Amino acid sequence: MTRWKWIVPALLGLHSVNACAEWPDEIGVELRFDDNVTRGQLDQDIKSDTALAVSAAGGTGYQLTDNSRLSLTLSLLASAYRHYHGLNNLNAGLDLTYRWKFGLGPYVPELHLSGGATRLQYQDAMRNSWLYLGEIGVSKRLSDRAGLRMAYQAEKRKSDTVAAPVALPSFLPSLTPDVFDLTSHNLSFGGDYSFHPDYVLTAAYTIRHGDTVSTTLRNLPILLASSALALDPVFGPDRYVYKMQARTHGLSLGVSRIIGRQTSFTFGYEHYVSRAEGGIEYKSNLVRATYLYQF
Amino acid sequence: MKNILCMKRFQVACASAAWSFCFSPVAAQAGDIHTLVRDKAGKEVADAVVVALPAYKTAKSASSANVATVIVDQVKKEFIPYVLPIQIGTAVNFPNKDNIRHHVYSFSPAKTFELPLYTGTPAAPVVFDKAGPVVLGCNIHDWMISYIYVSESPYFAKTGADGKAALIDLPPGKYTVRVWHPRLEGKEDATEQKVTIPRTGAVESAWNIGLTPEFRIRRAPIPGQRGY
Repeated sequence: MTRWKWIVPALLGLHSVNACAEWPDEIGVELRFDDNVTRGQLDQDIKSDTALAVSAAGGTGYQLTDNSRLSLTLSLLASAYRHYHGLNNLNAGLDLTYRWKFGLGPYVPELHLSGGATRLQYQDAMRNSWLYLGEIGVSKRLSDRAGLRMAYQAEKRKSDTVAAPVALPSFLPSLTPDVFDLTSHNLSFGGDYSFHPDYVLTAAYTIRHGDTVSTTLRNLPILLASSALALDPVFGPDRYVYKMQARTHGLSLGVSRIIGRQTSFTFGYEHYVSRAEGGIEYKSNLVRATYLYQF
Repeated sequence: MKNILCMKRFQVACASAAWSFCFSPVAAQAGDIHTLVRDKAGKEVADAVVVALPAYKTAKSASSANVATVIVDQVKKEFIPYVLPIQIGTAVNFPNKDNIRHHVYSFSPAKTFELPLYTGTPAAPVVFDKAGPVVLGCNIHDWMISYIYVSESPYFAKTGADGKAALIDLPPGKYTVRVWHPRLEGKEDATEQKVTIPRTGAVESAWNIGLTPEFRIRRAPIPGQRGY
């Protein structure tokens, strides 16, 4: 409480001097197809679905110095799935980002630090949770056509409720039901290149290490590799969601078309390969069509 | 006697002509250049600056700008106008009409300057005292870009969307006319044309200039990459 006594007036002081409210700052709509929304390994476990998402983001920026900026952003995202309605969700996040530009002009490197919390509210209550993110990243524009970026992200998800435990035969190790309490670390490298004045090609590689979830029918190898287990009625009465440690490699490619100065339409493709102990491997492919408008 | 009368009449006519030469409006003794700038594909080019350099310096051409301060606005996180031609010695003010702060700068050899974070209108305008193009940027909004073309000659104009520009009221004589554009392919000197301005009337000049593709730092968002 003592801390807030200082933080609140400091933020209000900053706000009165430097603030620029920009709400909404960005709005968007996205249609995405995921060919393995369950993150299943076997054909019988793989389920695909299409989702429509709308997003809006905005907030307040504080230009602290000529080179540094602090921004507070509120993001809203609503997703509706075609088949698996339990995945329908409404997310509201607040994050604080500090940016530091190493000099003057568009081609100097930039460092950013950000931290935030997002409320994940699903139709399937078991998935309701808070997501906490911390990120440090650097980016640099090489020219008016190309840019590079790199980021490290730490992620922690804490679910509201713990599902009912699943009774297992006594010869198997007991598993906790906290399947949506997840921790992970991500490292990503990416770049963009304009091959035409109206088109930007983006590419990124991400390596993720940490907890991942997979929904399958009863599966002993996955069970043995898992640290948590619960029934997952979203995909059927006989489906189980497992939490396990995995390493995921992701490659994303996108082509973005500029429509006017402030709008873009992007077609993106993402491919993920996740590997866990016991030879467990699953792959997924995502295709996205995204329309974004920045105010 | 008749000869004397004729002589007197001739002298009056000469005096009248001299009077009218010296004191009549400039337009009566000046010509225009009507220009048309197209690209290599024949499409009209907007925002090209056409400059006429007199072969012999006149009083006007030798002097520095004697005009009011001109402005480059910042509105909705963009500079307005995109291209501003001015004469050497002109003072330019950079009013910020947004409710956020901007940080205007230029690295160009013709004018290097910086207006650190500000709102409203800076106290002092920036005087552009060297000829050449000046690229403006904003350190907060990297997509903001604008060009000031500082002309050594007082005779210049900017093309509109129809690719046309008119340089008016030029003293008669020989001129070198050239074109500059932010995306001009090659050197400005390569566009030079020689024209002779008549005492009255206009001459026509046309160019088909090469333009480089317009790659700019984009303002439009990319998914997963939040803005500034």
